[in-house]
Amino acid sequence: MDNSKIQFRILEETFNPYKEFELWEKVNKNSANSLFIGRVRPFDQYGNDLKKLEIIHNKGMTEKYIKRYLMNISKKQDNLSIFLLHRIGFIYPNEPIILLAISANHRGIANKYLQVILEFTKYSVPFWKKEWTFIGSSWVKKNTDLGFEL
Amino acid sequence: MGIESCNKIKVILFASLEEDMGWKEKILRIDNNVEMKVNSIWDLINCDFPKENFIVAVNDEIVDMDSSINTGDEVAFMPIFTGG
Repeated sequence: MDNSKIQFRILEETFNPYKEFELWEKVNKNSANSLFIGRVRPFDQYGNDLKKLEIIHNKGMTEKYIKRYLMNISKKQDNLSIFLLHRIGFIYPNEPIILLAISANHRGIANKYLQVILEFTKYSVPFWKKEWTFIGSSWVKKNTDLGFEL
Repeated sequence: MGIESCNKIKVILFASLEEDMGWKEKILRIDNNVEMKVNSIWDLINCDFPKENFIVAVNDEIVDMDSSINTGDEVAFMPIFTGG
């Protein structure tokens, strides 16, 4: 297994996803690249205007789970490069929460692992979101549905 | 093991559970002669919420509520994850 093909960071400050992707792509020469950028919606789960989103995590466990999962995928799939950035802290509407990029030899593999890893970050890693509006705050109770079966 | 002291475990709460319970961490003394399970710890902290709604990790590994607990373990109770 080649550890250099897995890169992930948990960030406390905002980032430019396009610059990050550009830098990463320069060293990843596979022909098929899939990219997902998740941003903060301007409204909360009840439809109120959102002031900011707060993300907290279980430090240590989060990193351990992500690393182990990505390494397992890398063992199963040859020629796969994975790049994952995930924010914690306060994030404002339209700022990026997550950048996930997958590089593979074929589009099917790149798209497949983009979706699989994204769902993993939503359901299997100890992150929690709290939405702050101009009148108060509330914890996000569940993830939005994917809309189809994986 | 998460903590070094004998006969003690650390309990950590996260997110909404931390706010609802009003505390983040507690050190609990346990009886080494009695088999302790995660369920027992949940009862010890007097949490009235349905435990089925929470995820538990012992020493950063997700386990079932009927898993055993040993001296020095760190037990984390967590609401469902909402990242990504």
